[in-house]
Amino acid sequence: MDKFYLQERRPDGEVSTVGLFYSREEAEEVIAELRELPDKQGCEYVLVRPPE
Amino acid sequence: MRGTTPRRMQGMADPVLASMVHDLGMEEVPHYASRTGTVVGYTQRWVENAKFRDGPVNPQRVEVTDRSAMTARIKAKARELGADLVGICRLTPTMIDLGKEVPHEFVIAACVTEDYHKVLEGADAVEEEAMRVYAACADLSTELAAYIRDLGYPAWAHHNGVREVQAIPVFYQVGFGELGRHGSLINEKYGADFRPGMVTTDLPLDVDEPREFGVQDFCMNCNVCMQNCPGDAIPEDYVVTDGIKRWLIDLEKCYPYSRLRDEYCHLCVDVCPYNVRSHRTTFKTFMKERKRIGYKTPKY
Ligand code: B12
Ligand code: SF4
Ligand code: SF4
Repeated sequence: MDKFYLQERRPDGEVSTVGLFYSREEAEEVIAELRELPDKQGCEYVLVRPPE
Repeated sequence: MRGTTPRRMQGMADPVLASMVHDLGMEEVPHYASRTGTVVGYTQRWVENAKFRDGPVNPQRVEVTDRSAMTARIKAKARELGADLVGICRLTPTMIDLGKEVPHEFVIAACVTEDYHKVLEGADAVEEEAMRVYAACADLSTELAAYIRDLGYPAWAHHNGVREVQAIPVFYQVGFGELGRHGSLINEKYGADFRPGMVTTDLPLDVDEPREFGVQDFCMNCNVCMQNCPGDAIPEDYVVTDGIKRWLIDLEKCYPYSRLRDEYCHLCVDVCPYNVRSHRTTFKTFMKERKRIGYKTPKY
């Protein structure tokens, strides 16, 4: 199974891990919902594979 | 207020679990299919309670002139209804499920503890105890919300039958304790052996503060949950969310033991040394037994 940490990179430079997801599709759905939130407008979302 | 924290759905509503169940050629989560009548009875209690999570608010509002007196009154009421731990904080988007709206300012966590001695009776007894406590939390939060509405303030109950609130960020903010390596929140007196009942409301209340007492430092060297997890699902490394350290368990490794077998798994919480303070003899007897059968048992 694919695994990805979803990281939120905030405008002030803080990096906060949203969670661990088990497919790109699952993570992309969460990113799409987060992007709709007014509070999260300045944030970037990055998927990072956990170390083997 | 709209929530920002994703929730993983339970049972076949979780695509990860559903795909693992289908890979086994099944249509239902084996663990749920094998539940005893007693457990099913408890689940019906929280489904029934869900119908009463909200209701009419008394138009004759009791004005709050002394917040600390009202806070003491609410905490006393929660204890009278059966709560062992009560804490209050302001509701934040992190505490709410992604995309869900909760129109309240405060959240009250009113938790009921489990009887740790059940670990000596085996997995079925531990599960029945967990479900008994979930049902008690549903009764308690439903009654507490009704009590607050009677005072003239809106209030919703949150429990297994209906909820938009994430338990762990609330437990942390109300000062119940710190997140352990096993992913549950540890209180110094009760370990992680408690379950969530919650009420969100606009009743003006005083808030509690987070409390740290060395749990996460202890976890860095302890690793007992990791050494006992039959699925090797508990990680070495941690991540940071909103400045708070947390270890994220690997579901693909947890599910074969917690959902794909008939037996319940609660081992990560049961073996944690934070249980030793309140239950020294039981903890020692339990750990002796784990040593005898092999720490990571059951293993496929
Ligand atoms: C879905 C869920 C599960 C899933 C997935 C858990 C997971 N870690 O991914 C499964 C079925 C595997 C599971 C298993 C267990 N769970 Co569970 N679970 C939940 C539930 C219903 C929702 C949590 C959620 O959606 N997580 C989604 C995933 C994607 O998010 P996550 O980032 O991994 O999970 C975190 C967030 O909820 C939260 N979080 C998210 N953002 C932020 C930000 C900050 C700042 C903080 C502090 C926290 C935080 O912290 C959680 C854990 O790290 C909560 C109840 C609730 N109302 O919250 C109980 C809950 C967390 N589980 C609990 C327990 C006891 C267990 C088990 C021990 C028992 C069992 N067999 O079910 C095992 C242990 C597994 C483990 N080591 O984590 C307790 C913890 C009690 C406590 N004292 O903390 C809770 C609160 C409720 C309960 N069951 O009583 N669980
Ligand atoms: S068993 Fe040890 S490492 Fe695991 S949560 Fe408890 S104290 Fe932390
Ligand atoms: S519930 Fe069982 S399998 Fe899952 S993390 Fe805890 S000990 Fe491991």
